[in-house]
Amino acid sequence: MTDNAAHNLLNLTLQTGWFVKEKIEKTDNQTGSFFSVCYKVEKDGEICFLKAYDFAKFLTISIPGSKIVDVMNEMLTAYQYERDLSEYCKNRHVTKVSFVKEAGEEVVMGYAISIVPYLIFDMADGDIRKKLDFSAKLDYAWRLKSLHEISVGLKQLHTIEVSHQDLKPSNILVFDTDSKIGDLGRSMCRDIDGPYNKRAFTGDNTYAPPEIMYGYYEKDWLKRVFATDSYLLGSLIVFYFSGISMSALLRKHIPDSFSWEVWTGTFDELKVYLEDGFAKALIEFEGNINQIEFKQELKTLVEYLCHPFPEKRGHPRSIVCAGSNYNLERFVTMLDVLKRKAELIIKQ
Amino acid sequence: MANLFEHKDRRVLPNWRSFGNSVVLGELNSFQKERIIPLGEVSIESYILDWKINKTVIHASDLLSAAIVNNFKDNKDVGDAANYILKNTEKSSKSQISLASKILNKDEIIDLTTPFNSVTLNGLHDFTNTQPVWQKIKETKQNINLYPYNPIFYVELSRYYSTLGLKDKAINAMKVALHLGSGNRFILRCATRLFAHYDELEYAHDFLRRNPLTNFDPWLISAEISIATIRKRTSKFIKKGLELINSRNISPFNFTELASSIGTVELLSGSTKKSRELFSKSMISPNDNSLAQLEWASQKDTHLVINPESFAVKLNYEALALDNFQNNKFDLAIDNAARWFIDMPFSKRPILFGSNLASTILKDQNKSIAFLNAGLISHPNDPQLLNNYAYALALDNKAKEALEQLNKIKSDAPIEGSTKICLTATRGLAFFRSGFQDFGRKLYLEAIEETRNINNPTLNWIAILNYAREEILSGSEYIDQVMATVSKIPKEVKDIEVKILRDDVMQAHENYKLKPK
Repeated sequence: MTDNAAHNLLNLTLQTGWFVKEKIEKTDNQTGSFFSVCYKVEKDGEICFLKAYDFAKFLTISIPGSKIVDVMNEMLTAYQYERDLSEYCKNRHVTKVSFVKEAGEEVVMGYAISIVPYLIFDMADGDIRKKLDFSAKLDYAWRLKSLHEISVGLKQLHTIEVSHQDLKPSNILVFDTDSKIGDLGRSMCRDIDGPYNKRAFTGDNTYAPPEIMYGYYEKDWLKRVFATDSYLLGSLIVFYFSGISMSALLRKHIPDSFSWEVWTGTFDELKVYLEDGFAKALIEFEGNINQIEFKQELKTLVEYLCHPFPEKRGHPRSIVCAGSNYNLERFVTMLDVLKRKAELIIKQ
Repeated sequence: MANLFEHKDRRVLPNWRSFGNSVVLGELNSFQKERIIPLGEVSIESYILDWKINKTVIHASDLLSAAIVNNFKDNKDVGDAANYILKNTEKSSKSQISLASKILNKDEIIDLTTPFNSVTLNGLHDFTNTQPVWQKIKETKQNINLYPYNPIFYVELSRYYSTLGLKDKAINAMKVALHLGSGNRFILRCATRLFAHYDELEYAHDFLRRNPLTNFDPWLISAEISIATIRKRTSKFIKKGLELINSRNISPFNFTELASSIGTVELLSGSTKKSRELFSKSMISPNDNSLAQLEWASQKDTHLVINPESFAVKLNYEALALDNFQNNKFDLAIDNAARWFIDMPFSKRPILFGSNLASTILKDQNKSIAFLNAGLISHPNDPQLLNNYAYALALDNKAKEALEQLNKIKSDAPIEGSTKICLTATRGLAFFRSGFQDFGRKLYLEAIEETRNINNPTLNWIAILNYAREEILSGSEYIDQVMATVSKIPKEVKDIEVKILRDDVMQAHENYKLKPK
């Protein structure tokens, strides 16, 4: 690693004025960050997070089934896409998403590939998993505030026809008391030709909605990607209160013979069993909510957002009205009301 | 005399069990061999890394989520994470704890037979208590209130109602289930069984024939063929069914009932060669239903030989009971009949089988009455069951109680021909045991005459033998005359009941002759 430019930025002052003060050990091994090295950087007293792209890595590794040219192309596209998408969102009043603060390239002499492209982000305290605690002292107000902020962020993205696709606990970043959506790398945008736009699902399987797991894809792009985001938001609510993903909860209540790794029939044949498993999953989810005032509302939210059939997903009023079934406006309001209710309980 | 257990009319109608049991038996599995879109390769390494670095409950449960969703339950790190949660339950949510337990108990196999292993006939008394069924109904209704669009709850409700003999409620609940989930195998099969059970065959046939799933699902094609056979119609799905069996695109377990039902059609039409071939295919990977069907068919075609115990088939109590009976293992047969009934408490067949066996062959009227009490819950005032009840009571010299049971049969109740004959004979028996031999004799002779009219020799012999026993026991002047008739019953008759009754009559006659006059 030491003969690699991206790994040797420590103590350098970049052309953009940022001083690289600390290397951060990798805690994420996903494809998007496989070629990246992370640092803590400082400028004018502000500390930020730098993601350096390790262009030399493709020379040293080989991924089975992939050609080096394809891997290199994927890395370049990922870098450009994240940078451009960030810019696109920033200019369209999206506030609850963690953007690229600055993008640049640094030339570090003395290495085979001396150019290191990088992206700088605001430094978060960590992802949401560092904040969640399921011991008796549950802070519902904090959780609901965070969920409300995330729903606002997702709604803002949807308004400009961007679908996040990878909303999961490790992508919810906490900045002091605020929460923001992180990692736009897997997002899909109608107006920007991204690396994953042609895929049915670009996020993490662990959080994927059941229709994706069973290989049933809605052909309409908007419907498909927004239905996925709705499910992911619901799954996040499940995680905040139960500590496991909605898909895990659902899988737990589906007999093995109907699971996505076993089932070979059609999605339609499975609907009754999925509905049954979903009903049982909701009952279990409800059992995790200790404060009785929130049981019904939270269960209803999850029921609407995570329905296993995309055509039934969304707020019932949105489904019967003109416009998208997956309009998040009502959910933003519901979470806002719940947040305020929880704050009032604390004040009393 | 007791109603004969009808060996002659079994069809491969779907067995109806709870949703959970049907799942475990594998009858709801997909029958296609491969997924249309194959699953991609997935890694959970990032979750493992996160867990190893952070070592917190939340990172552990995030890893468990990834493991259960992506089927990595056997991974060592996943096991460590599950153990970590179970050691820190005070910091964990209910779902985290329960997911950890589920992952660690992954090899737990649900054995459906466990609750049945301890069942014997004595246990049937517990099943006359309807309170647990009412409790289940209450719970299912609560679930329906929460999830009114879940058709499985309505199917379960219908099953509980049918167990209690509440026909209209059972039918209404099933109609709701059909409305909500008509494109589902479980619902269609359960509905078929319910409507066949209540003799609404045309309705069952209609929804099966018209359902698009019946065009390609072997489990539904089998049900349609069976219903068509009962209705004496030729099914238009037989050709399609044969194509499916021979296609090699579906596994043998998925076509076992289909092969069995077409095999039955061939057997009934006299094509023994085709029938044997199909029954043989049905036995590649049988279920309890195809096994019981072959046990039945083996009585029609002696070339079809079967030993149900040689197959690892769960809940095969019907096949075992019939096999035990054929092999004169009557005590085993009666215990398996009890298990058969507990497995399918809405069904009359195990009750008729068990009560007939207990009354006529084992001569244990208490056992017979235990079966009948259990059966009368799901079939209140059923003429066949009341007849057998009265027969058992009369044989136990409780003639008054026997007549009381017979009087419970409503005058407008539809009664099948052979049951009418049995009722007449049983009334005759009750009068004999009450001391009114003349009335009894008149009724017995009437019943015997009727058995001749319907050309049913087995029933005729049974009626004669029952009548002969009563004449001997009452020491009447007609003994020689009736014994002359008994001697005309062919010696080589195969029916076990006839054989045993004849032996009893001969013994009674011997005893009578030895008695000082």
